[in-house]
Amino acid sequence: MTRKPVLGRLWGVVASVVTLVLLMGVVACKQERGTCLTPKIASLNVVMVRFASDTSRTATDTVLPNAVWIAQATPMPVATQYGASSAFTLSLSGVADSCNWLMTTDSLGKQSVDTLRFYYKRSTYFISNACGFGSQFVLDSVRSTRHNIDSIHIQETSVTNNVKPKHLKVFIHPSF
Amino acid sequence: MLSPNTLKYLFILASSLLVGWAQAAEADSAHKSTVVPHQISVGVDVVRPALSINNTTAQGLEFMVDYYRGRELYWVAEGGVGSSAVRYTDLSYDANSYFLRLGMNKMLFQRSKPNDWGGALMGVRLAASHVQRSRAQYTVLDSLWGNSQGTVEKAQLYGVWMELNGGVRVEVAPRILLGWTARAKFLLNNKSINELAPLYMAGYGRADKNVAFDLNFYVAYAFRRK
Repeated sequence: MTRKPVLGRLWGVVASVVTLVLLMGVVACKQERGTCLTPKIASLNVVMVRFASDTSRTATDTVLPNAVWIAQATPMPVATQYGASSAFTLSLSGVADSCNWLMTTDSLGKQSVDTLRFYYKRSTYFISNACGFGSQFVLDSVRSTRHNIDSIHIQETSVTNNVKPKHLKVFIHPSF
Repeated sequence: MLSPNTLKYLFILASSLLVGWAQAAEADSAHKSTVVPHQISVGVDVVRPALSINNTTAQGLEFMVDYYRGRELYWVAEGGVGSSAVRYTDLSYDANSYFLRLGMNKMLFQRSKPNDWGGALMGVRLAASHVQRSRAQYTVLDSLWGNSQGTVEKAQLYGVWMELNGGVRVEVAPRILLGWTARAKFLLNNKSINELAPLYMAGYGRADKNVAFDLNFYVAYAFRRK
């Protein structure tokens, strides 16, 4: 007559321990530092556009045949060669209030090099314990030489780890 | 103003309480003739110390007290302390914290007899934690332009969250209770601690997450009187 409650209690203990072990396995599998899944570098997205002629009012995206962007970093410049593209992703320096990028439209041709100088305010922010801190910027102005570049229009001043906004429109000379 | 997420969690909490009370009232009316003793049980969580052995980033100790007076409802108070020492290459700080949770557990099934103290349970909690975080040092890693460094001044932080819990409790020997509780925690004031949310907030876990899951395994002793 007393077996049923004892058995019931035993099954309860067994079920509890088995479930506990499974759940503890899940908890114990956590890494000490989680994987950072958030972009840490702020992306400055640039689009190349061009008017079809001097009198045209409509600008269209312009593919640069073989662009090379060179970050004038210290101790040495760092170059990135792109394929044919009209959109580029750059980054800004988190250790200075301005930085320079050099741009050639075609690494294979005899194209002049344009210099773009970015002026901005910078700050840091906490992303997560897995990622640490990141930098973000507010663009003030951009100056450039005029070999291939006609003008530059800032469309979005806030430069963060959000990769979607198009921050700059760089107008290439209609004669390009 | 309360955020939409906060309102959502408060609605879940209120709904759970209403369902719990409704079921308790039903159970109470079914057992009006049964005399169930009062019980206070006092327990300690053995999972957190076990997980703390090789983990300096999250160490803690948790206690619980619950009180039973009828209707298969237990009023619960839980508390504890915790600490973390974060020593990453790009981030370092210390955090010490303590917490208090208040709420209730509801046994899912009616007891078959007055001295049946085991069973499956569900519960809700409202909880708060105080965190004392040291001055933090960080480095923003940038292989192109160079690393930049900074500090965040020490701060006193408060975390508030609600929990939905489920678990099992078994009386393995007279007055000795074992049981686990799985917890889903929803942080209600994440915006006020996001300047540098501590890696471990006692009672909650990772404060840089709006939702956290946790597990406790309690060993408890029960005091009873009729």
